Amino acid sequence: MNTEHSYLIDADQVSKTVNTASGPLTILQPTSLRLKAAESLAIVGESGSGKTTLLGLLAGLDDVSSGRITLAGQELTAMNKDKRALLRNQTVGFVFQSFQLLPALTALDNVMLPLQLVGAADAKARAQTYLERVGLKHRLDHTPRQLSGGEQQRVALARAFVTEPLLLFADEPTGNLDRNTGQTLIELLFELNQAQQTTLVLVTHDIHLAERCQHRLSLPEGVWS
Amino acid sequence: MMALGLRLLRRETRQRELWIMVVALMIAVTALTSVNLFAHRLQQGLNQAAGEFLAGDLVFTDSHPLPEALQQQATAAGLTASRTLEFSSVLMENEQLLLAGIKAVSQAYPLRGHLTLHTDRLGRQDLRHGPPPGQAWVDDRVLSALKLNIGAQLLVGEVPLTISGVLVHEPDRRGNLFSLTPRVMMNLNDIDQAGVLRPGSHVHYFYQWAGPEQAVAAFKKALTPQLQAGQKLLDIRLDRPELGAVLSRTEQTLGLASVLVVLLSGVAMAASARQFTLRQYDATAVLRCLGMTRACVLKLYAWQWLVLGGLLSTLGVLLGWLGYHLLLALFADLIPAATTAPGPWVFMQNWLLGVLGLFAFAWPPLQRLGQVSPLRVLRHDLDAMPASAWLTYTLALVLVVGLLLAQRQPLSLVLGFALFGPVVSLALLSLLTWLIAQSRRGAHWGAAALRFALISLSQNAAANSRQVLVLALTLFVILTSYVARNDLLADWQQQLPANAPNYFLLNVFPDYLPELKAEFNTQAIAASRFYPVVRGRLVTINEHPATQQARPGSQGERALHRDLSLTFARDLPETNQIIEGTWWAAKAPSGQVSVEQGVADSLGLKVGDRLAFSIGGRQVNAIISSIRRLRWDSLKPNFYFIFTPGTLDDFAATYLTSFYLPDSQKHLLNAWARAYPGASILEIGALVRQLQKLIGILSQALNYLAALALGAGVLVLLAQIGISLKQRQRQGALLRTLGGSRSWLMRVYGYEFLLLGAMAGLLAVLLTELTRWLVYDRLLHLDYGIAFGLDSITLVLSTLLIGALGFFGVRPIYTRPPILLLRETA
Repeated sequence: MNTEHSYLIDADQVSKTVNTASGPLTILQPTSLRLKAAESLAIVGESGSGKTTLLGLLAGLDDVSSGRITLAGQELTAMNKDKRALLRNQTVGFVFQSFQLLPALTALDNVMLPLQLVGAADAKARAQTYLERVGLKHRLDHTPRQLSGGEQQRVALARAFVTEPLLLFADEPTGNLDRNTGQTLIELLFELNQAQQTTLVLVTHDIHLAERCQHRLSLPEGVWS
Repeated sequence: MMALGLRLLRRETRQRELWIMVVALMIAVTALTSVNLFAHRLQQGLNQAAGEFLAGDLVFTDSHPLPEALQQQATAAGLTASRTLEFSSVLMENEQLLLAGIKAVSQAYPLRGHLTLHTDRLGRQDLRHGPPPGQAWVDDRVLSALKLNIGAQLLVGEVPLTISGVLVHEPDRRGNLFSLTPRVMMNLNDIDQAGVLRPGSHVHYFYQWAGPEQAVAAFKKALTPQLQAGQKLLDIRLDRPELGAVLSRTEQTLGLASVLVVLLSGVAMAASARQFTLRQYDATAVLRCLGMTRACVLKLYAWQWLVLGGLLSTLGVLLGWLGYHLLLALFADLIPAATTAPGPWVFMQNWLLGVLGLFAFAWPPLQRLGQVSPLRVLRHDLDAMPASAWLTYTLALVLVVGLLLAQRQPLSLVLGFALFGPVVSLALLSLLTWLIAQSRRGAHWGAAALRFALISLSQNAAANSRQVLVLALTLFVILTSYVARNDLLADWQQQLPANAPNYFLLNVFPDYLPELKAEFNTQAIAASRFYPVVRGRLVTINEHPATQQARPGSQGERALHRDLSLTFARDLPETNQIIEGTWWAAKAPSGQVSVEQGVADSLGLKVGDRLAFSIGGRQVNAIISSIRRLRWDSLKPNFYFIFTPGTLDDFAATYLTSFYLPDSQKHLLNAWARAYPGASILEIGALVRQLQKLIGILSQALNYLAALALGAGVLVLLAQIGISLKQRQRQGALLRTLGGSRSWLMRVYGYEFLLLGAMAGLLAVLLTELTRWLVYDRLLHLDYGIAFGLDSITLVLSTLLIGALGFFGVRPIYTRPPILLLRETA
């Protein structure tokens, strides 16, 4: 068992290099970070600084080129893709800039989806509860195409929290929303986060949003504050 | 997983793309089912037609009676049986002698086909039974030769029979045309009384059986291993080569056409599956991100496709069944009534084929969904690797090859498709990609819109070349169906014109020749050459007994067991073609022989081999100087062996010809029978009519197949244009945003689609010509010539059609506000 399991995320000298036509290109310099349960971190930096790459690595969506990541006491970098998928399902929630709802499913179906993947018996009831909490009780049977951008992101929030994950990753969650809608959504995000004591990692350009988090990691230098 | 898959699929039914795919699949399965059912039925009809030439579905012959146990086995298998026996006997009436072929028939004879009888009282009538006991039906020549009339008594052995009619047609008059003796048909019950069957008498026993296809096949399978020396089962292909040739070709052509429909359906399936799959990339990335394993993703889509394939196949089979009945109703007068309805297995087969076909053509793009990276949720540009070309081709190939083999297609066709299909496609794809990439070089001349169209084509060279290949293949299939129908039928009809020979005249003595030729001239009768005929047997090949070299059961082996009609000729007969060696010069030395291809193959003969024949107790040697291919379906005298003039001079020859005699001149036959005693006249009009009927059915079936190919082809064209539509709409919207005028864009896309259409048309024409050459020259041995007229029309039409479909297909680019297009295609 990892002696440092008190950290929910422990990334040690994680880097990512890709092969291009003109040779290897490092898109994330070696970076380390540690977060305890219920803490929040904003990853900030200019475009191309490696923010999204780091988020992808921390969530096990991509393979590291070097370094080690431990998530909820389990070494992510030693797992194959399918084991990482299982770990994501059990411990991680996501919110994306482009919402990433399945266009063919209704709001309710979208929120039920991660519960159905693990065969939860009360999927429908729990999904309804969370949609109610994000204020979409009257939109259960609407497809994403019939919802506004703000409403779609609320559905995405409900889907992220419905499994009551230990960790929530958010990639520019307000990037596609106007200022007011974005602000409302952020309030909702932090409120749910607070209520469920979720550890939050978010990537953002927004200084104000970054300031609401306990920690900030500035890329590409890897400065921790 | 299944429940989630179905839920996702149910939601997908709101999407236009799924409906396009569903319609494409439905058309594919429907077409396939109706074609297969129809082909099956047609096959049955053809077999039945063939059976009419044997008077049964299966015929066994031996010089001894068939053991009772085997006869009971046939009855137990549910088959109806009839029995005939044949022998030669000398008849004497009114002090005239005649060697006649006696045939005694049982009550149930003929099981297939009919006898035609002429009586003074009733005229001509078709009958499904032989003469009753105490009666005989005879050839006209028996009456004239023995100076008898209908109603007279005729003594066969010791039994007196009353002649009650003239036999005009006998379905199974077979085999050795050239030693034909006039027929006397009697009832089998009279045979004991006749007292002609004594130990040592030369009698052939025939047992005919008929019944459901499967029962006949099963009995044949059980009987074959029990056959002993001298016993054989008659095969229409070997015993009636002229009919066998047409039957085989009909089967091959129908098979070929249905394979083309399968291929076209495959193209439609693959195109729609690709579109469907592309739509699923984002959803799959989200599912993976939410924790679904790769295996689960594949399972999810496999369930979707299994259910979709199952439902569509069921519907397709039902619609196909309706289409089949429509066809039957349309061609009711052409197709013989079925002996058995298609069994459940035929439907199951088509259902399975639908599901398997869907997977074979659609699985390669679909299985790539397992490779979609969950990282795509963050980076939208991450696409899964395109479907492996090898996997795509292998699965499609396995399916089509399996189908071809199941249809008992010739191995050369199956191998040709399996080996050359993928190689040619890949080579074409590479060549096309290279050519389209080069089109940028042409972009320095012409109008700005044309230049931009060329650049746009070359930028997407890989995608455009795929599209051109698919469009070309579709046009190729339609074109091939069309030319197959036109060319093959025209060729056959040429072989069997309205005045195709309907009589053979044989055993003509040389003294009669000048007079007979003059008579033919006077009466304006179209006759083939008069061929001298000498009877003889092939005994050794390169000094070894010929029987040792024959492939068992082959045409060659059968030829060794009977006297053959040998001829000599200075010029090559008109329907013959030399395929090896050379035909002799005008004054070639004697002792050379030209051999027919089929016999040469089955006896392993080649140019230069030494053959020895036994003719009238003497040996004649000859060296093979050429191998000939001939048209059995030409209905003209055909010979296995033709010698150089002079080789057979020492032997007495009779002459043989075939000619067409219209009904109005039939009275001449009786006059000739009297004027040229000894000569035999054989009517083959029934055979000609049967062949013409076969061609009629085939013509209609090919019409239907061509119509289906055309319908499916247009759908494939639309689907293909639909695939690139989104990307073109986005590009067009951007160009308009950047200031491109609507008319300029219309010109750009007009040029682009016209160029694509021209390329597809050109490729289709090249492929069709290549296939025609392969099929005509190599497979069916027909004359091949480039169809310039049809090729030009195809090129122009494909350019205009694809140009117009594409131009109007991307109409939203010119008509809708660019901002809307950008949003919709984001």
